[in-house]
Amino acid sequence: MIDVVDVKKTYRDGQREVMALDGVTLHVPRGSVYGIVGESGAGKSTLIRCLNLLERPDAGSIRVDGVELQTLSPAGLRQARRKIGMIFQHFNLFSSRTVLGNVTFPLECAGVPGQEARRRAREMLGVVGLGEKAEVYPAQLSGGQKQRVGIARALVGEPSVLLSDEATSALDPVNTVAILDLLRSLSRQMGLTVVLITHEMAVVKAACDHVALLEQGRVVEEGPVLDLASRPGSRLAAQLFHRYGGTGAGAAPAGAGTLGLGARRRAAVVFVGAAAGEPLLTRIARRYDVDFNILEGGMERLGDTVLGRLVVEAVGEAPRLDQALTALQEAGCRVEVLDVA
Amino acid sequence: MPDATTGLWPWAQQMLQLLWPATVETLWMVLPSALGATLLGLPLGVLLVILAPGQVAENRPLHQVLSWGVNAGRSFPFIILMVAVIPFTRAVVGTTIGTAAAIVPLTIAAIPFVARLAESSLLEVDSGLVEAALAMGATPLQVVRKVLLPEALPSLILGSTLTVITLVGYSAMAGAIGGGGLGDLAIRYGYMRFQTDVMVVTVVVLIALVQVLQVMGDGLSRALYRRRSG
Repeated sequence: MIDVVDVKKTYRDGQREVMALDGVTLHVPRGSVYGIVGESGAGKSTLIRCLNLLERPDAGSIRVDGVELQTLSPAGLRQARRKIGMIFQHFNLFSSRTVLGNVTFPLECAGVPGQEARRRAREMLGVVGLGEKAEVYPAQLSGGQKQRVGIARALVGEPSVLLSDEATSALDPVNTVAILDLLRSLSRQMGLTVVLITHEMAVVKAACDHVALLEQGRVVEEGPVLDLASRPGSRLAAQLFHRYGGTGAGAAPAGAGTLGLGARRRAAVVFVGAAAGEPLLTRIARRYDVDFNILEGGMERLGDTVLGRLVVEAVGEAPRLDQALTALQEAGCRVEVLDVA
Repeated sequence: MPDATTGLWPWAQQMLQLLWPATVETLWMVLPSALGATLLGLPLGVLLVILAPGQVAENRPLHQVLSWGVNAGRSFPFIILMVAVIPFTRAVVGTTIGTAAAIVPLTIAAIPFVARLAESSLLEVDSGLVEAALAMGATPLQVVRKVLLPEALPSLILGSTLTVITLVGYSAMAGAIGGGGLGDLAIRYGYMRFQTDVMVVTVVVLIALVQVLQVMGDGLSRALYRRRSG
C-alpha cells in the first residue's frame, strides 16, 4: 500500500546539518495498522509528514497506492492527499468552524456540494459517536471528543490511508484506549491502512499489527508484532514485552534447585492464539516425563490477539528435555532457550 | 466660556454648530479611508504572510519587494505624503482641497499600516491548521479563504479598530489641505484664535469618539471569540 524506498531528508540548523531521515525503507501492507516508534528526534515526525509530502524528502521514493507522490503536479498532489487522511497530536481543528464545519472542510475543498457534504459529514460524525455535537464549536469539546472530530474529518473523504501523528499523546489513558479501539475498528470496516507514529509502546501493543523502530533516521528493526514476540535479541520485543531473563528470572529463584537431579533448560515460551487455550505444558510434561517449573508468566493482549508468555525451567533427562521443547515448538509455541545447565 | 451676557444655552448651541459638522467631516474622512485601506491593505497583508519563506505560496524575492515597499510607505510622514500625492489626488477626485480630497492621502497612508497589522494577525494562526488544511488537499487560495482569514477574524477586527482610531488622529492633519474635521477645528479655533473652550470641548469629543470606536471594535471581536469558545 505504501512503499518508502531509501528516503533521505536533511535539515539545516544554522551551520549544522541535521540528518532527519538517513535512508528509510518501509513497506506498509494494505489494511495493516503500522506503528513507527522511536524516541523524540528519531525522525518519526519527518517520516510520517513525508508520506503525504507535507515534507519533501531530499532523495528516495514514496509510493502510496502505486502512485509516486513526488512526480505529481500540485493539483495531482492535492487529489492524492484527499485519499490520505491525517490526524494530529493537537487535533488541529478549526476554531472558527463548528464540528460539522470541520468535518465538511475536506469535502468543500474537493468541491462536493454543500448539502451533500453536510449529509456525509453528519453520517461520519455518527460513526465516531459525535452525532449530537455537530453544531457546537471545538473549544467546547473534551480532548477525546476533539480527536474523534479529527478522525471524522480525516475519514469523511473515504481515504485509503490514515496517517496518525502522535494522535493519542495528548489524551488521558482512557481516551487513548478508546481512540485506538476506534482506529482499529474503522481500519477493519473501511479497509483502511493506518500508519501511526508514537513514542509509547503501549500504543503499538494496543493497536498495531506491524511495527518499525526508528533510530537516528534509520529503521533498525521492523516486522509483524507477533513475530517480534519470539525474535531472539529483538530490541522492539524487549520494549514491547516485559523482558524475561532480567532481574526476576536471570538469577535462579530460591528453590529452583529443589526439583531433583537431571538437566535443566530455562526457556521463554510464547503461546499465540489457539495454543494459549490448551493445556500443552502438562500434556508434554506427561509425555516426555519432564517437570516444568514456571518462573514467570503473563498474558499480553496485542490488538485482538492474546499472547501468553512464560519463562519455564524444564528439568529431566537431557534428551527428553530437548524433545519436550521441540514438541512445544511443533504445537505452535515459540520457544527461546535462555539457559542450559 | 459661558458668561453673563450669553448664558449657557446659547454657548452650547454655538458649540454644537461648530462641532457637529466637524464630527461629520471627521467620520466622512475616516470611515471611507479605513474601508479603502482595508480593501487594499488586507490582501497585501495576506500576501506578506503567504509569500514568506516556508508558507503556502513561498516566493522570497516578491516577499522582499513587498515588505520593503510596505516599510517605505510606513516611514513616510503623513503631512509630507499628503503633499506628495497631490497630483494623484487631483486625478482621482478632481480637486486637491476639501474633505473628499483628504480621503486619498488618508487611504494611502493607512494601506501599509493595515497590511502590517493584518500580517501579524494572520501569523497568529496556528501553523498546524494550515498544515491540516494542506494535508486535506486544500489549495493555497482555500487556505487563505477558509482557514487564515476566518481563524484570524477576531484579531483582524481589533486591527481594523486600531486603524480607524489611528486615522482619526491622522485626519487632524488633513485640516492643512482644507479637509475640515475635529482636529482642524481644534487647531483653528483653539490654537490660532485662543478659544480654549472650543479646543477643550473638541478634545473631549475626540476622546469620546475614540472610546466609542474602541468599545465597538472590542465588543465585536469578543462576541466572535465567545461564540467560538462557547
